[in-house]
Amino acid sequence: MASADLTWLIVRNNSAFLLKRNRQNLTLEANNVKGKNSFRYSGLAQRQTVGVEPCKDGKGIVLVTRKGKGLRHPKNNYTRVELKRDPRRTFRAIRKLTSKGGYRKDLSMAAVRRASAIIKSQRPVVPKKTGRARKE
Amino acid sequence: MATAAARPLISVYNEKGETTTNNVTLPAVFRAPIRPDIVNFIHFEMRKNGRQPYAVSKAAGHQTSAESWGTGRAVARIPRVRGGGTHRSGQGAFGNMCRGGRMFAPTKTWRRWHRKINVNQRRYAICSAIAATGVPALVMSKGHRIEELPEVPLVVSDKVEELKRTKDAVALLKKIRAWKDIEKVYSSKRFRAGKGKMRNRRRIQRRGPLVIYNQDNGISRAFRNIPGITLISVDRLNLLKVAPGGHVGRFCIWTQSAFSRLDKIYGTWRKGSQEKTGYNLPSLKMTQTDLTKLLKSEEIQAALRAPKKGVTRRILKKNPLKNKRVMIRLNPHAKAAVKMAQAVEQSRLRKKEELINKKRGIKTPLPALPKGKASAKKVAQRKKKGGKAKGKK
Amino acid sequence: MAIRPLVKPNIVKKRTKKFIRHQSDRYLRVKQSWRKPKGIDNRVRRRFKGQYLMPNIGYGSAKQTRHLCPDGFKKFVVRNIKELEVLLMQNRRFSAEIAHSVSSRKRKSIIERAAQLSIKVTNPNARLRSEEDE
Repeated sequence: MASADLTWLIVRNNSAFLLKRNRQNLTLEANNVKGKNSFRYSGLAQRQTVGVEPCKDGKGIVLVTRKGKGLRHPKNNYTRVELKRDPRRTFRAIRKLTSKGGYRKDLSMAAVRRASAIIKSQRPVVPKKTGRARKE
Repeated sequence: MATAAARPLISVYNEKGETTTNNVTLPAVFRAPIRPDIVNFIHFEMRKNGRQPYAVSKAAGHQTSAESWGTGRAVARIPRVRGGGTHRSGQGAFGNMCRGGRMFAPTKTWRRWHRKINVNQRRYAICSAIAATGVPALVMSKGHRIEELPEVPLVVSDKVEELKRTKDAVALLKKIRAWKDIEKVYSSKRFRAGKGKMRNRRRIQRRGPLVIYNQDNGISRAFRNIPGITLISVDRLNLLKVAPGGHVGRFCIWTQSAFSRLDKIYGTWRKGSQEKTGYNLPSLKMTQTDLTKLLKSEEIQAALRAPKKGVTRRILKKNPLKNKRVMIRLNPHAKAAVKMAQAVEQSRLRKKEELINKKRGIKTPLPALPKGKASAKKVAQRKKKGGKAKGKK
Repeated sequence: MAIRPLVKPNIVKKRTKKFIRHQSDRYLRVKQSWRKPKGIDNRVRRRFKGQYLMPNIGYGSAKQTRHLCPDGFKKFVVRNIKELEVLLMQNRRFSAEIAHSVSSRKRKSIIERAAQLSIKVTNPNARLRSEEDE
């Protein structure tokens, strides 16, 4: 099995998820908390990844983590936890799960940020208040 | 070879998508070095071998009797069409810059269309491509939907080779959760961009899974009408199919006998190939590609020096001749020496003043020298005031 | 409230005038768009006093402010909602620009989603005019 480093070198510049715009490389892949095309955040190359997705019913988030072992079994490799309680407890849970036992501590803050952004996006959009009345 | 040591067992799924008790060891090819550069190059060269020659007509642009007018007519010396009575006469001809002229460097049918490819390189590429199909990350990066797949590489029992009906094939793909990839093919059906539409290449779609069988007992008929699926025999593994676009990591479904034949076809590092004469798998340039493991290995750690911890601060050098404190630190006597020098200076000044006063006949004696620090200050202040007053006058 | 960038550095452009092509003022057939003079005697090429200046790398913007729009965001061209969602974590650094080929119907859904994700869209009003007129 190719190591994470080798996989990264292959995937780095050649992936179905890569979005190259204006010298910015973003990536669409799942389990990339920041959407950045870099080794640290890579959802493909890394052995242990952290993914934060919105729940399908539009409320709460799903935390997806990847077992470091058994990479050959994609189906059993990921664990999905639905976090549907209030944001504070959700963040606490994320922080705990990501940094527990040395599991991707580096992604913990980013995961919380992403969860926060998703939860915010799930609220109804407040209609904009414009400062000035529109000229008609 | 270190790499051949631990080869995991791959479970075999039967035609209902359940795991069977049969297990196959991972063929050694799956441990071959993955070299996208070689795969890409060989793919590029192989693609050229399907080309058909084309060329412009040999006579195109040369079907006039044009001749240059030569110099002296204040026009370019390009060959011009002879005669009169039509607009064409007198116009430039032949040259690639002329209307109606031939193109620059007219294409020829004897262009080198096809390429010879080194056999060893070709085999290296296919080994690499096969190895990459066993890495889920690479298969995913190619856009295949394999996240619900039970295992990569996916091996199904030989009964699948006997499937006759597409219905059964579809059921199998659904059972082993490979249908999502087919769905992606369905949703990707679209019209080709560009001129290819009018050249009998109207529609395009994604590539789906590659099904690799050993014996065709109906499997190709069962699967071939499922969009995106390519069927291929293990004997004829083709780089264009295993790594389409020159990018490694196609989603492959193997039948068990096809899978276990791989060791015979490509050999293991311990044993050469049985079907290709004198062929051995390419050896790895790096047996350990995990950087963190490498850096933490004893051999490398032993060669490294201990990390430099702690902060060393740089000291700013100061000139002792200008900086009193530094001078005192260097020479503890300096303070006393300065004081003494000042005292001597003062007494000399005083003597001088007394002498002048005597010469001028001023009788009032000078104020007594102060003894303490505080009184010295007062004297100094008084002196300043006096000085100022004098200045005003 | 309008979405603001995380940091808005002071963007310094070393030159705001365009570089125009030598002799584009003389002939209509010579357009203004810059072409590097290649002639052996060319005075612009030889950088004579009083001639047009030639562009060079020294005029480039600082790394921090390169590709930065005046509002402090960097642009990211987006073709569908999925590409928009990549910007979720970068919404204070990147703004989305809907690609010109996207239809008005899909534009609407993209803009709606962008509002939910609080991503700034640089061209939210494009292709909307005909609807308002009716």
